[in-house]
Amino acid sequence: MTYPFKIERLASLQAAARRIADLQGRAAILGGGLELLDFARSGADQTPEILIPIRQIAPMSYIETRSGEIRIGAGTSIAEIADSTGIRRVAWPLTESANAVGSSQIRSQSTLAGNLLQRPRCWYFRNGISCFKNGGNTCPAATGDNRYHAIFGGGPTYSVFQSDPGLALCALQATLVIVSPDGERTMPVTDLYVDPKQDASREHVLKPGEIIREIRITPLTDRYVGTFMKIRERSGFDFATVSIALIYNNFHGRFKDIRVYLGGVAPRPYVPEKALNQIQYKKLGRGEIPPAADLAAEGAAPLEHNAYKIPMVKRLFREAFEVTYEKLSWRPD
Amino acid sequence: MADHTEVTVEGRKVRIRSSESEPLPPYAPSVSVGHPVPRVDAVDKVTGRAVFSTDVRLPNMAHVRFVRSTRVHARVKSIDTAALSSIAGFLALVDPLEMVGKSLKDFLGRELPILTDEPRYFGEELLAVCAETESAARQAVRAIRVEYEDMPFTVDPEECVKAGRFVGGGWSRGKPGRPAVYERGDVAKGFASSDQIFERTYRTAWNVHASLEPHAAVASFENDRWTVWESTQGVFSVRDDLAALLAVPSRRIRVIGTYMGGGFGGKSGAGKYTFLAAYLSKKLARPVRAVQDRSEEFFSPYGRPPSIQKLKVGVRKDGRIMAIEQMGVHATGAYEFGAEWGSAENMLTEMYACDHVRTQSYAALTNTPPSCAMRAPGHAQGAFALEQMIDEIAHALSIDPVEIRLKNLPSRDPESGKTFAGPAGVHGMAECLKKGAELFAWRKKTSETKNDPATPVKRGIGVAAASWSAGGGPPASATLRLFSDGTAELAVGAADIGTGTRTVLAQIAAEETGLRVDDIRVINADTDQTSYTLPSYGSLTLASAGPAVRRASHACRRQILALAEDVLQAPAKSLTLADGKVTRPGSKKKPAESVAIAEFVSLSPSHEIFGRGDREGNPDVAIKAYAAQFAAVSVNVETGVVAIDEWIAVNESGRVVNPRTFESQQIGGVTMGLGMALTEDRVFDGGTGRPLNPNFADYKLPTIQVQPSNFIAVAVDRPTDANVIGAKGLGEPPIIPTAPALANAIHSATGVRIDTLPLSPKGILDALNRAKS
Repeated sequence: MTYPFKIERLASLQAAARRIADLQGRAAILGGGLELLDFARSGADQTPEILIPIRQIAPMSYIETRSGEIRIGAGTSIAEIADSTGIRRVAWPLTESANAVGSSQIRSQSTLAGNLLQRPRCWYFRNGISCFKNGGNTCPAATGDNRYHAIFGGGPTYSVFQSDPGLALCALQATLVIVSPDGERTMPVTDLYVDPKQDASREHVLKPGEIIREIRITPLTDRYVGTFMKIRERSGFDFATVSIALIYNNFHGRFKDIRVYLGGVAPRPYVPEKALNQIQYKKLGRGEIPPAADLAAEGAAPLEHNAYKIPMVKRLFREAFEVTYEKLSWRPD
Repeated sequence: MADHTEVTVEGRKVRIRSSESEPLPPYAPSVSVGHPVPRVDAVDKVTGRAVFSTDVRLPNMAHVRFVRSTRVHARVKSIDTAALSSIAGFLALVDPLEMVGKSLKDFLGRELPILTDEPRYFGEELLAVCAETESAARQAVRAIRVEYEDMPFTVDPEECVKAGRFVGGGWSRGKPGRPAVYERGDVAKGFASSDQIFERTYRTAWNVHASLEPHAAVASFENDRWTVWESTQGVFSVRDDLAALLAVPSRRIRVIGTYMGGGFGGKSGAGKYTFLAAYLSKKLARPVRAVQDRSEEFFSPYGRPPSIQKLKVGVRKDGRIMAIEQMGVHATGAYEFGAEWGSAENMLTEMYACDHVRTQSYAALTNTPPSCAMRAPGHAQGAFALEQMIDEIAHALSIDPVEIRLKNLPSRDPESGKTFAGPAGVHGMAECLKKGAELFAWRKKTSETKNDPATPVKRGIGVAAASWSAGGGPPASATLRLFSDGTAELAVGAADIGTGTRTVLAQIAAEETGLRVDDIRVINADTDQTSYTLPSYGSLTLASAGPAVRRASHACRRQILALAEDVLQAPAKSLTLADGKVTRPGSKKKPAESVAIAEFVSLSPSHEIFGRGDREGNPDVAIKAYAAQFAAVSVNVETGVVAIDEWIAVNESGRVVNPRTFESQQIGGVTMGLGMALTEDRVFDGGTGRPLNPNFADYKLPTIQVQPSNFIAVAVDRPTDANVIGAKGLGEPPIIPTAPALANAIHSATGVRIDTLPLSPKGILDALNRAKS
């Protein structure tokens, strides 16, 4: 490490939470350390002075089944998630998303919680160019080179949601267990991310001192189908240009309980409401998919350089439904 | 060979007679050359025994880092260094005043200051700090506060040209504000005699060399002499650059670059870091290490500049090219430095037979890092335009794209009018095209590739070709020492930049002397231990150093044979040298007899056999290497994602000295070409002028997954008679046709020409969208 970080080892997660809350932004959790390394080396000087390693304080790296739930320690590596047969059996979109993360080196080093809370890949932000997310009061991407930015829900910032497992966890309706200075609470993962219109400076709602301890998933039953898919510029080691996590079931011959989220297109996991409403409760049938897919980019407000994402969104929506449709245990056509 | 060269000595023009080279017997290698010998340094490299410059750690070594400009164009108003004194391990600060008059020079003598207080691009070196550790040096850099006064800038080459801020981009220094013009024939006449004229503007992106080993130097000053370990393509050019910068004689500098982790044109001479390391090693009287980190590799040096090429080609109905007119713009940076490297016109002037050609090259003085040679400088960019244009013409005239290329092959070098190096008969490019077409089943695929309109995945095929001057030549020399135990030391100045130079040169020496490759130790790229060669660039290394090695080895062979004639009682021509022995064949009277080469070395008057060889001059012909590539792709027209189904690369580079390194050279070239074609795009923000992706997450090099699953690389093994080993270069040729072959295949799949690199999903979807509207 080239930057003079100070490492503080604390006795418990609770103590770590309190310490970080007290230091108000001057400290950070050390998990896999990938983001910290990136920021220390890049032009964006976001480096905290004090690092608090937490994977050694408490069991943070595990995958277990308890009370009918899959419980994943927040410090579990993406590689362990990708390799878990338990997760593959009852939460396979998460497996697929884990396999789509970075490179094998990154999957081995990165933690699930770190992946959920990674800062945007926006190249203005990452290069330390003044913006809402580093203390400034503009979003240079709004008028600059915004080829990788949001086509939905942007403004005032246009960075996009980039966590592959995060998208899958939204579709799986996962719950987060959060340790804070005053105790422990749970929240749905879908509530984790903040609308830039409410707070443009950050991407999630956790306050300093709030630590994700565990991620809980209700297993999918046989009735469900689902998938995670991702379009990227480079076939390996690349963030999503557009990604999708999709889960639904066959309820008496109908599309039911559809949960669909798009990544890479909006500041938060994005739900294509129009398309979703189009197909929800429709009788199972291949013919229902294209009309819904056509609506998948409804409401898109592309910037100067990213309209190309619109056909991608439609295609990916359609492909995700078509691929999963083939896996339904019963289908009329 | 030309019998003389004309040079100017002290203002006087004189003719120098070409030196006589001893004629060598025709080359008919059998033992070593032509065999897939494993790399001589493979084990050292994979076990970490090979010491690269970045690995060098000397006792008491200090570390240099640069303070770089955080502005695109500015004047430094003030520098606050007060905090430096509190940094443990801080040793020295170097500012521009201390470096007045010190600059790097390009091939045409244009200068780039070592340090400046008026930065003209983001990341330019302002100050250098030296500290006990690299970490302390980084802290020192962070502790310095620089205040700037911003000045206007532009990073857009076309804007610069419009504003008149450009120089000619050719190989001579023209007048400022004038493009470099090449002209032969009369293009107006050529277009008048054309049946059809095609016009299109092509754009290629900024690329970086992205060598695995960054630019690095470790300098040590002892006994009034510098020893510098440098990751370089040319130890002698580093030595000469340093001698000039330090104003000391060459004999006081030793440069070592035996192992180096990739250069691709970016490590041809001394860098700013080299000079600072050398300068500070004397000043501080301790070794100094200067290694750039990955992000710095995006600023210094500089990579392949982007190009905008407006191309106009006139053809007759039968496909004959009648006229070529091109206007090329590339970004060269605000110093003019390296302006010669971005010109794409050579491809247009030398590739096909055409009497009427006119090109104009504008090197725009953008506020970006200077341009630099990068694998197939000019040609990689030029081919993207020309080879797509030929494809477009072929389709418009309903001529097969392979046929139209064959139809326009030149019988003489279109630029110089010289004949091509022999053997006479078939043109190397024709051989590449024909062999590739056959392996690829081009005709069959052309008639069978059809697409179902209902599916978004469209299949297509494409071809592109290339030529590159790859004859090598003097200066190059080599020495070979045979020891009395039958081992030997081959000393050659050339760097092995990853191509296998050490291995193929050992093979040439083994072939000639009969020694085993394993018994030859290759010493290379060390100015104290080897004789002079040019840097390993321009595809010239093997064809330059190889003949010198054969000559050095032949000198040894003669000495061995002279002794062997007496010992084995047989005429030299009946003896064979192989496997470390000299063998007299058996006859009715006497059985075969072998004597170890070691024996002859001990018998020699000097107890060592020593040979030196100089590279002979080239014959007065054009010596080109050729390439053709064939691609089959699937393009999803709704996601813009390209999958490469099949790739065939064919290269004619004369004799194949080592089929294994030949193939890796092809695979490496295509892979690098696929990066250029598909994903690599260094982005400078128009608004802030700053680089947006100076890292490997956002500047996307190809990974192993980009490799075509069905990838065949083959050679046309056709020794040239232009030098005594029959080999030509294979450095640049494999990368040149890759991007246009892919673009042509994408056109075949989608019906849309994509004239802008990279061919990313965005690039493809945007082009499809434009075509629709």
